[in-house]
Amino acid sequence: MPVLRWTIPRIIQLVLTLLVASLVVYGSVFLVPGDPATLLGGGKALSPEALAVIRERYGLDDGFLTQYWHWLTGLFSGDLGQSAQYRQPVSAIIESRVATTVELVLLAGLLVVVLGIGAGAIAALRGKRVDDAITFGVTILAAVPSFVAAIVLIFLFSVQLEWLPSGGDGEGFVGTLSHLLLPAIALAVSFMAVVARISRSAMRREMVREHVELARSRGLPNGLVVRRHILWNALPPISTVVAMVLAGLIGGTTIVESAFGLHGLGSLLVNSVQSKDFPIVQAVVLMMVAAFVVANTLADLLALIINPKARKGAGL
Amino acid sequence: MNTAILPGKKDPPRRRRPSDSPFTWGFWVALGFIVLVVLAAATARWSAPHDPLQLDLLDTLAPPSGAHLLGTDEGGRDTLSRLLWGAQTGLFGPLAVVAISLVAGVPLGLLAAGRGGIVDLAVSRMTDLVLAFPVLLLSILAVALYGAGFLTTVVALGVAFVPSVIRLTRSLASTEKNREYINAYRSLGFGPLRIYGLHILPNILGVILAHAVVHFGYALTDLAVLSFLGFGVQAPDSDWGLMVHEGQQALLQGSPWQSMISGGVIVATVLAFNVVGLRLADAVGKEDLV
Repeated sequence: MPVLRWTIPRIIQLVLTLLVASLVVYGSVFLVPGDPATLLGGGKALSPEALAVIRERYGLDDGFLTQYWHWLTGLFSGDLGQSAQYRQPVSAIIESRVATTVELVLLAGLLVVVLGIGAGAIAALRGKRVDDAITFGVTILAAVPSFVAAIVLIFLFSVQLEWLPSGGDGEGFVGTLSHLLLPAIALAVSFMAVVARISRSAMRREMVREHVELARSRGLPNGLVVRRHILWNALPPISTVVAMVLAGLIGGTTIVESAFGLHGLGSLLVNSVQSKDFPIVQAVVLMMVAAFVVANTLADLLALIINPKARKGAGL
Repeated sequence: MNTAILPGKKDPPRRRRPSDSPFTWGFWVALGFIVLVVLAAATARWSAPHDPLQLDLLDTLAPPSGAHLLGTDEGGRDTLSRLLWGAQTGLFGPLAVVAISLVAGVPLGLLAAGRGGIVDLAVSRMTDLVLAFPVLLLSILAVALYGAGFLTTVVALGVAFVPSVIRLTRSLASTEKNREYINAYRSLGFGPLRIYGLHILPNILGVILAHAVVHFGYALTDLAVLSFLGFGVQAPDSDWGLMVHEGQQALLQGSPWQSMISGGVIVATVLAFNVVGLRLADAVGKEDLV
């Protein structure tokens, strides 16, 4: 199976990266001066009995690797530790929050891909006026951080126009969507601009190549030339950028969820850092890093499928 | 691109048309704005019309007026004065982040390119590992461990930016070290330290610094985000990201001035650094080809 030849090494690499990342996230507790039990217990002065319970639960009296192994095997059986702040298993808290974040990232990702590639394509294909206007807009939007976008959107659409809610979670399909729309736009804005810029230049490069000229001289309809000859060949650099964008989207949920008061993993992370609930911080950071690394691997594999030439470069 | 160009086989250098110049009017406007922000930071002590921390509970959430050109915040503090003072952390933070990333990243990149083999592999694997963490998450993790504050976020971001500096330096130096003149120095018996320090580094430094300007904009955004989340500069200090956050409650009640103005200043400053950085990268990149 030739497919396996270039997928298996990537998957092995993925597993190794995840292992090392988990080691870093777990080991970070020990990089801080002081007793890790205090940190895991919420950073407050605890009674010796309470500290002993925490030592017992996390096996802090064993060697470092034994502890790590204990924690890692715990992860696979769904045991992420105990939250100091909520007095609940971390897994239960995460379970109640994960859907919001996934929906937010998917909606924002959809906006980034559709509007980003769309704007890039229009800039590349239409005349100079349109190109200049889009390039100008894209340059500005690329400099808008999501929390500033959030503020502007809240003011325009919630406070002034009163079209959409300024925060909260919402219920049902329409309710959830209406509560997620502004956060998703805020999250997507600057990434959309990046994708639009890359799409435009990638398509520009393809447009002047011989195979496109040949296709046009054969009399193929414009739509077909654009789709099959220009866009398809411009995809590899675009998909690379989209993968990088996903990374930003995942980390960016911390910002927009806090700005809009959504109850997802991002705002959970921010609150847990503020209340020094370290078991939750570890679990959420690890989940986000894992999502990021997996998304990157998928994007790499996708690039290899789209572009057979890259397979040679991968040395596999 | 990374093969040594033999004399005679090289394309004749293209005449640069005026429209090709990277220094468009946009570049000069952006540079002018940066100068303005630097001046604001340097002169805040004298140019700020009010004390940025002076509360005035009788004049809260005032819209722009003669007494307060950009209005006041929830505590009646003068927004313009806070913006001017905020320019200090706004500029010093990213400067420190970029400095940390350059001081750590450039030598490691040169080392990886120069030594190759196991050193190169080790540096590249470390780089990959740090890049597996989104920048923002790495900083948040650092805040969780070492506590919120300007110093924590600056150091964490500096470390998070190191890998991309290593990558850039490594790839530039790898290309440069195979060129004719470096071979000539090598055959003259110059040691690696002298070749890399005195000959390769000065030739690639332009591109590295141009990227550093772009990174400055990124760092400014990330630091503003971290203060917005309450992890960076702490109240009551004046900081742009913090001001956006502090104004959010008032914005929901219909007084958007503080949040909108400080958000606008952040966007304009990041935009200016993006434009200048990309134009500079363009300029040094093109000269590199000639």
